[in-house]
Amino acid sequence: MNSLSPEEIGHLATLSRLSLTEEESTHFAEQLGSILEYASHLPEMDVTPDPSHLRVEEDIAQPCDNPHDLLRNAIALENGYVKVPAILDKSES
Amino acid sequence: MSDVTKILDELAAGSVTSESLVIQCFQTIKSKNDDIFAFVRTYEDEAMAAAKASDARRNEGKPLSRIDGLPIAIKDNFSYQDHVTSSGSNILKNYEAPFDATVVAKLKEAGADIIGQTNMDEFAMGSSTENSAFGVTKNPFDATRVAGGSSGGAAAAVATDMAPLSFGSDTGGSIRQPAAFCGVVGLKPTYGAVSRYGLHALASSLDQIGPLASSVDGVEIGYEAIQGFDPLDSTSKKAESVPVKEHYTIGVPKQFMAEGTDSRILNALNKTLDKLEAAGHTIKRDIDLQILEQSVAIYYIILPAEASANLARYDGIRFGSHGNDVIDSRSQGFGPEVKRRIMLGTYALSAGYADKFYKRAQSARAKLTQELLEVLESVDVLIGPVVPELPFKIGAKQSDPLAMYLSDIYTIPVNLAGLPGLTMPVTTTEEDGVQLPIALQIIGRPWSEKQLFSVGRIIEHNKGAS
Repeated sequence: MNSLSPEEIGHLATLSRLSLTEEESTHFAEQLGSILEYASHLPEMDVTPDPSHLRVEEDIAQPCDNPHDLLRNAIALENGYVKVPAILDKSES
Repeated sequence: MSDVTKILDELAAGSVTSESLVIQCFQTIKSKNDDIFAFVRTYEDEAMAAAKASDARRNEGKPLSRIDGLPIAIKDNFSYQDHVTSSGSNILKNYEAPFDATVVAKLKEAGADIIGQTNMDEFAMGSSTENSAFGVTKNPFDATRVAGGSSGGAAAAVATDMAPLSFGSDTGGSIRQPAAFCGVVGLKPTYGAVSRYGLHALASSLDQIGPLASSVDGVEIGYEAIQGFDPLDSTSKKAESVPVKEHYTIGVPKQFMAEGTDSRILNALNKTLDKLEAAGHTIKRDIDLQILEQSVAIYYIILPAEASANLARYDGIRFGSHGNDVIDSRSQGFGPEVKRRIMLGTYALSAGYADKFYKRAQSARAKLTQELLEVLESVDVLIGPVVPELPFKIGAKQSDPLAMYLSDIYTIPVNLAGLPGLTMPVTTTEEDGVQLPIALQIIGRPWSEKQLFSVGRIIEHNKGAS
């Protein structure tokens, strides 16, 4: 694998929620290709990862001192909710 | 500006005031920051007010802690309440953190005086601080070279005396490599020792916050101020302690002394090891850890995979700069390295490739961790280089990301295995008419920070001896 195809780059951009310029697509196809080529030589190992060190906390709701403050960076607010453009047509609902 | 311990002694004795320290820092910032660009934002008025309050507490004999009134710098990816916290990114250039990271809260509670936020590669993705949306941090030894990264601003701020103590984050070397390039001391603590709550996430299984200062003592003071269990970080752990020794057994992996590393770095390393041996420590040079050669491949699968998931939150709706829609917000807001890594991670996790890349990397990471922990049963610490090369020229690696990634070979294994790593300067060497720093790295088993400081101090003491 030397370079990713334009289709592969396009598909990856869609999955990554990015739109690329033609120049970016060309560069990334080459650069990602060489990085993936390098990484693809990683041999298989006979060790299973042990996730036991991860602590899983119980999910307990706690009062928040500043709920409105947490939304201060949102695009738009209405009645304490984040307001976003409609993504469904009325006809679809 | 003098070393952290000396400053704290003087503050305690009343021979200097916090106010005079802050004035001194800002004099230096005003004369040097335009050229070096260590800070992206500074807060002179706030810092002066906090210094006066600290001096008043000390006058009453009621300092909040030993570091009360000490000027410090934080990296631009630590949530800092009511201040712009931008992670070096355009997408966050106007983002005001609504809360403090645990580390910031701890430092404030201790009375430390935050003078500003330091420059970094965007979302900590990079080894040169060239990927910041706000400008390149220059190397204080030679402004045509990089300061290292991603905590390039944090290292340059200490090296130029703009701040005596600063804090960065390290995911694959982001504290240790810039510390090495700027000739200061830096620590990547044991994974879980310092809370990640409020740190903008890059790769959550690898990220750790740590201190940078001009001496090992200074770094230890910084570490003590921020470490500790935090229920808000699900990977935070209760501290354990590995006792300090008088004589150490030091291992040197063959793979750390491999060809391809600048001979001046290897020579400096060998000289230090000889001095340690002469001082009665045991040096084992036959450590063979072939798996270390796989570190970069493992890391550049796991890191982008985690980063692509962590950065999915930037949708331009709840926070961050917004364009016409989510895709537009992200495409306008992220720089090229961030886009590259998001796409790389998306690839490594996508159907059909996850087994070949992500799962294989996870199992290789487990193997590397196992082998490093085994070796650290037979020796106390490992010593090796930090970077295979001297600080490189600005722009030299911008078009070749793989070459940039390969320079992280010696720092990456420490993050993959969750170990602590301390880097410190040992000498300088001349290149193109300028003196450039050379550093080494001391790696220990989990929770061996005190041992690393102890070995570091021994090296500091023996530096002059030949």
